[in-house]
Amino acid sequence: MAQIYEDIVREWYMSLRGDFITFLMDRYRNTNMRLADAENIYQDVFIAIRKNILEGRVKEDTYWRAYIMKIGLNMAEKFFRKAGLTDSIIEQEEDDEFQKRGRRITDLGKQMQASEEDSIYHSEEALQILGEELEFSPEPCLSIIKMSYFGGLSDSGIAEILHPYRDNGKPAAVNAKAVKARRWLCLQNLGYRVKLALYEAGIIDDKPERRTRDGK
Amino acid sequence: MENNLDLFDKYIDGSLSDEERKTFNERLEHDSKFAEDFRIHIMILDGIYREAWEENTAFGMAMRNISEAALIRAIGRYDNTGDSDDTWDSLGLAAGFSESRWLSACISDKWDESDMVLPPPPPEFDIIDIGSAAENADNSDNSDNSDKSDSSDNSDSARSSRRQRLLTWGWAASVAVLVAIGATLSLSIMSDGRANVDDTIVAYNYIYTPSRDGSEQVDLKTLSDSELRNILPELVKDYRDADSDDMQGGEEAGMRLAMAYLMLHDRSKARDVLKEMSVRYADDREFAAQCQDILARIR
Repeated sequence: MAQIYEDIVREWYMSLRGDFITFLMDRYRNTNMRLADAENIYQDVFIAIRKNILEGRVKEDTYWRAYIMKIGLNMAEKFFRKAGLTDSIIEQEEDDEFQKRGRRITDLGKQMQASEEDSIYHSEEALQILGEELEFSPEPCLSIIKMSYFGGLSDSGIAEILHPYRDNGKPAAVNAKAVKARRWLCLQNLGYRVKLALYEAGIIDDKPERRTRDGK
Repeated sequence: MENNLDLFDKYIDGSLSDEERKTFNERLEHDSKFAEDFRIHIMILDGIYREAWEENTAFGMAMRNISEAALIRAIGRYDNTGDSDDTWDSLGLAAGFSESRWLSACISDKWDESDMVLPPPPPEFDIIDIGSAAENADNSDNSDNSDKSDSSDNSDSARSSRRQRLLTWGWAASVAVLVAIGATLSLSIMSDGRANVDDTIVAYNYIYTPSRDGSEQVDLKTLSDSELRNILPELVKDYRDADSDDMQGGEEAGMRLAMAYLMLHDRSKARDVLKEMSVRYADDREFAAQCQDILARIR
């Protein structure tokens, strides 16, 4: 089991490292921050998280991806204020959107499952198709959808964390629009693929249509 | 479905007014397509949430139970401190550390611990002792050997001055070489930096949508540079031939072409396509904003 824990942590560490370091290096590109500094901060984040968990300073149902980015940003800003790296606590919002919205969606799903007329949730094949399409979805689509719906972040917040090119002085709304546009496009494509697969499997009757501006 | 995503989200969040919610529920009952779109939307989000929840829970549990030693192993903790005021040390040039190699390794995620090990420092400067050779050469030309001690003293002095000149020349040459290496590395890092910017833009904006209608569509990210160049004419054709009524098709074709150019780091052509699309699809403000955003990054 110990090896499994180590493997899980290593996998998360490696999967987020690119985004995190690129984000920091771009945010502080006009400073003397080195790649080694960004890497050190990233490692300090994981050490700090474990410390915070053991000291009971973080909720168990925290959305870790957002937490890692937030705590890393906090550390980086302290790095440049030369205030030390000892205090790495991020105040968590009282309303945890990850659980709240997730519960609402799960409840809606259960309602549909309970409905006699709805065949999708009763179909094992439909659920399998969904699983395959989700697995087939490219990044950063799934990350943006997860952060949007379950990370408790606004589009500006997601743009700050995921998008590495936030120009100084440039309004966040511009990048937030890109996040919104990207999320919309991701859901469009994902929905289209799922519907097409369900149609081809004979689970739904209507073949999905490609979107046009004038409705054709 | 494409026009109802915002409405679905408001319904999920409970932010619809009573009247709007009533209308929504009525549509669910009487509009089968609307209801189907909503069901699929919920099913997708439910699936994503469950997957996210499982991953999240696993990580939290792992971080709670992992030992400190295992955590250090997992994150590959090393001492990478250095005096940032020391230019040579921070660049690692004095130790021969290849930062561009490390940058490439890190950003390409092919990093492993061996990349973090500094190579041994360069050998000490070898003083070439040509004094003996010079002395021999001098002695062979010098037929006056009557005062051997005097000539010996002169030879020592000559050797010393020669060594000094050699040392000075050698040191200057070494500095020149290091400066040249530094300049090359800087250019390489800048060039690598631009390429990495292009790659990151592609990562965030390129979405591979496999086509199921019989037409072949290759995932551009699986192609090598030469393969990308080979299919560029086809991508250009797809973009130029896109049906004017099919906005989504045109946008997808155009974005594929722009991303292909960026994958090849041809920013000039990518800019041309993006500028054209931001005008052609100006009605689609979200897409036009996306094009403008990318243009701002590759100016």
